[in-house]
Amino acid sequence: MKKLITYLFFMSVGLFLFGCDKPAPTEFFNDSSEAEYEILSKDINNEYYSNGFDTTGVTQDITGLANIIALSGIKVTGINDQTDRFSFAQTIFFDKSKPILYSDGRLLAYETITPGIIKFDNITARKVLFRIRYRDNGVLRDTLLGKKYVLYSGRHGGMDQFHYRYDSFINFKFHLVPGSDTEFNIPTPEEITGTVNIMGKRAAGNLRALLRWNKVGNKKIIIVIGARLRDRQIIMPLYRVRTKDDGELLMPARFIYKIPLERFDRLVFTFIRRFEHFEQVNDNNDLYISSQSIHSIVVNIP
Amino acid sequence: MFIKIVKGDKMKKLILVLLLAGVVPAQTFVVESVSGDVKYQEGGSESWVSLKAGDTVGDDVVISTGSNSSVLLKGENEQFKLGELAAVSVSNIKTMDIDELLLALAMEDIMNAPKKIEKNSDNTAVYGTETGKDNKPIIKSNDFGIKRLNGAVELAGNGFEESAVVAARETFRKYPGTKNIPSYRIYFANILYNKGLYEEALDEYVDIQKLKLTDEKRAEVNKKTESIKMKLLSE
Amino acid sequence: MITSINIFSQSSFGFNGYWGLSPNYNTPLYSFESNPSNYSHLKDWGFSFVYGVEFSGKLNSNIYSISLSKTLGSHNLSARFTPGYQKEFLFNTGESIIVEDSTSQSLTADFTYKELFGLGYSYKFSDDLNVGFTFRFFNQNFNQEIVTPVFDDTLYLVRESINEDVNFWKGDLGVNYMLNNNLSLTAASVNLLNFGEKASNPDFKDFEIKREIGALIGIGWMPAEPIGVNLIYETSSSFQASLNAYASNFGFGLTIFHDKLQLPYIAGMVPSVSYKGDIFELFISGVKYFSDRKVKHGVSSFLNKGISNVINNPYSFDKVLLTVSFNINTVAEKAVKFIDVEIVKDIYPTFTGNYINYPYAYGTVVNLTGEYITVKPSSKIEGVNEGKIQSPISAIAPYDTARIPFYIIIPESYKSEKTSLSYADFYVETKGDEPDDQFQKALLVNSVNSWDGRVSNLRYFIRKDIDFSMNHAKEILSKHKSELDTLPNVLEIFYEARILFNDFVSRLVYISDPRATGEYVQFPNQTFELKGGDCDDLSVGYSSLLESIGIQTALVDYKTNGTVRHVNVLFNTKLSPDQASLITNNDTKYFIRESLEGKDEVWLPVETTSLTDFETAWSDGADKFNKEAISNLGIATGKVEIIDVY
Repeated sequence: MKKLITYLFFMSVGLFLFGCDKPAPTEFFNDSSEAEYEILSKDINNEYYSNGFDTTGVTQDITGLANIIALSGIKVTGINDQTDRFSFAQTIFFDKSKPILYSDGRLLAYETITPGIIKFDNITARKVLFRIRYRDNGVLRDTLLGKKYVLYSGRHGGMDQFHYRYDSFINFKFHLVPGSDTEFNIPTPEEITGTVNIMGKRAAGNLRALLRWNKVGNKKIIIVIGARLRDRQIIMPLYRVRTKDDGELLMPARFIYKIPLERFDRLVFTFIRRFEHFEQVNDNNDLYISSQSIHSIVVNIP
Repeated sequence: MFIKIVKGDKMKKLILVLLLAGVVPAQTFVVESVSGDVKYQEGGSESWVSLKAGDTVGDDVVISTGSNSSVLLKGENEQFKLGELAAVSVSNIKTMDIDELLLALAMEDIMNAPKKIEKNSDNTAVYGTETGKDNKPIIKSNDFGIKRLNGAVELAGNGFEESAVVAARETFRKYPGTKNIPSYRIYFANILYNKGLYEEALDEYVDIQKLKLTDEKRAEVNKKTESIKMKLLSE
Repeated sequence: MITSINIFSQSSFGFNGYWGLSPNYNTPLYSFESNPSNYSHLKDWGFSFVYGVEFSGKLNSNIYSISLSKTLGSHNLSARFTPGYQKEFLFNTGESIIVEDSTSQSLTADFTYKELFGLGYSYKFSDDLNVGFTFRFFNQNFNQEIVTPVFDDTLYLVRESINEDVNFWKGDLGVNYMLNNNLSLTAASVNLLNFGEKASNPDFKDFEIKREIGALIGIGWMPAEPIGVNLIYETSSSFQASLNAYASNFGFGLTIFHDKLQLPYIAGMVPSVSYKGDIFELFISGVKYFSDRKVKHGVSSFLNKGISNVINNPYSFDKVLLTVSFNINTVAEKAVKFIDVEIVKDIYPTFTGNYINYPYAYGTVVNLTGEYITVKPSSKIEGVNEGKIQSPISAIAPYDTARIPFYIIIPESYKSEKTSLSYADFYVETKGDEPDDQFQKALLVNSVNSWDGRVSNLRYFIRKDIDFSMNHAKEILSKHKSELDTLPNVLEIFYEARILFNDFVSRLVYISDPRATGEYVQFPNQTFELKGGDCDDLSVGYSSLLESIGIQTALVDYKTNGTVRHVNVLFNTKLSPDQASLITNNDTKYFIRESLEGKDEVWLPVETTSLTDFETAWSDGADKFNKEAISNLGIATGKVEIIDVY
């Protein structure tokens, strides 16, 4: 009997050593909604960014420094639940031979040029100064890049007769002086309308924002989370989430409760449904076209 | 609860009474007449005392007569005359039924020390003739064993046949010499025979056959033996 | 991104399939999943391990479980280590971050659910009823990458890993009931008891194993001897059904199972073949799922449906398993069993011979085997015996029941003067050193002075103290040496008895009422010490003195006096009837008894309570003997009994 027990013991020890695999894990491929997070304003004191955006505080990132044609249908829902509508179109051309550098030599931007006439839906865009403010070595600086083409209409006066039409096309014409004309239609997405539901408590660490919007399809939408600086009433875009256009996103708690209350007083959730197109012919000849429906919702930081 | 013993007769008697309570009342006889030398011995006494007419004797008494002597006892229902050269225990003067006799005979074996070894009885067939029944085997002797046997014969003569057999059997044990006198043996064996106690009688007869017998007696015994065997076979 | 997953605790699925209470095998019972009441067939130790190969695309093998079980009487304890009871899931959390060079980095999660070990206990109230419970320990390891914004001078996203181990116990109770040989029922809780940790990290709260309280019921039915049909149903609506067949040493089982979270409706089957040797059981079983398990799943199916079971879920792979179990009986198989033990005698410690020659108890013992067996019975009385006392071997026919006598030896050293209620342990063994069965029964152990009123048993009091008596008798007789020397040899015994009696009574001052001390007998030295006693004590004392110097004695038991008996002594003078006249003129004072050698010898009765002198005691003894033993035919009717002391 003792022999048997000894035998059993060694046998089990042996098997244990042999069988030290573990059952195979199951790996899933990703077929669910994915949210890409991206920081927008690295330096939240840097007004360079705010200058680069339209009045919603949100527009394309110009750090890529491609030539830009941008069309936006914008809604802004304030904390009083009132929604204002804006339409906005702009075109910026950079002169890649004239870089503007930070004092440490990093590229900040290029000077802009206005080489002809631009029309959106046959309405001639105005040429306006393109000024940016940035912080260089701790010193706040203003710099004029040049001019850009702009059309704008909204609550504060229908300056231009330009109106962003959703789920349609907007005509773009460029008359190079001197030179030939270029014309094409830019499609516009379905209008986006979002809601924001703040859940949980800051103290419990489970403060979450449930974002919902009218879902359209399989393309992605972008949600930009911004916050208003308490002291300067300027909205800083903080992060961008790129997610499936499936109508719902739960912002994890940490994205909200980490926002320092002493510096920010309001949150702005901006839903962006966008068509975009990028074309690069060569280093000095590229074009980024975007057409987007934007809905910004302003809430107090809970 | 202890009872202190006072070493005196009174207390001793009390304790004995206590211990013996429930014993059958003793049979007593009155001495009607005495002739010649008649003595008695009472209880555990070692001495013999002369018996006189009018004396009362209980069943712890043994009475013994000398030659040419006799005594007549009278009990409630019975009367008993003891002839010469005989001895009898008063306790034996009593009527017993056959069952009691059988019990008394069985007691001999029971009394023996344990695990008695069974003795094989011889079974020799002997032939002979029958003799008269009234042939009383009285031997005149002062030997107390013979006196006891004579007493037993007297018991039988007075109608106490069962009691007589018991007395005789006891005597044969206590006085082994008396066992060798065929006439007594045959006399008491015949009583058993006549009472129909054939097996008991047969044991006796077979034993008697081992004794030195006259032809006449041997014939008698053999005849009895055969007769019993026939009887037992036919049962 | 994920919000929650439906992960449920174990259901009744086991790697050997479901075998009901598997009358022929113990192996399937190591599965706490289908045997939450820890039912076991083991007689002693059991050991089992499950080793398996998984077809996950590549082959990987491991030990699934190692179990140890021990039966102790009606109790069974089991422990199980389950290194293979685990499932790991790797997937993207649904979050990613865009880093400075605009590339996207996905965040991943690694969740592992493990059952680490389990413990079981059960108690068999009878062959029909078993009740037990099992506790199982689970570990959940959550490992997930998250991205956190950091507000400093600059705002940036930090990709970090958060990790938490969450352990918990779950316990379930179950009961098994055998209606008859062909039908058994099992009922048990599912997730009845739950205790342990909860995930502290809110990100993991919704990923813990869900433990919905439920119940399961199992039925095992044998419609015909070698065929069994079993069904186990859970209130969560999962079920298993199986068919088992037995043929000599081989067994076959096929189990199909349904799981509410797996497709198709019958999610798979577990075929198994088994072999049963003398001490081991071998199972080869397979788990075959009816859906393709090598197909890659999207995380959404996992997130939507979850899993119901760590070892059996939509993502489990087909397996082949080898199970080896050992049934190690260091305790011999029970060949016989007690049904009852009847104590027929209380213990009177002084009556040593009584229990050697006559049984004090009878055990009703049944032979459980189909063969003739010899049974070695033994017993032991607590407080009396140090070890077991063997009784004679008995043989019992197959499946027969026998009444086996038990004898006991009371050691000489036993001296307790207290009567106590003790108990005796009875054992029956057939082979080996271990008894097949034992039985305990209370019994009365009287004091050494206790007496049951049987005069024949007084001899034990006489013999027990014989050394004391001998020393005393020799001392007294030596004082009378000159007197004795002048006597003829034949009279020596008579005079010795007389001297000893006269000395004996001279030392005594009282006799006690036998009614007060009827159940108590003094040893001779106690009688001397107390200077008195009742008739039993005095007869024992005197007889002991005579016996100690070789004088044969007998006790005369007079039963005539109602409830109170009387005892006195007869002794053998060794005189022949013809020599009786040397000691007395009165032929009524002695009695003839035939010795073993066929010799007639003269015996004298002595009334020991006559504390006067020898002559009186003799005379009184004779008187009483004549009247009650002889005239009244007491000897023949049994009212007076002579009991020889030997």
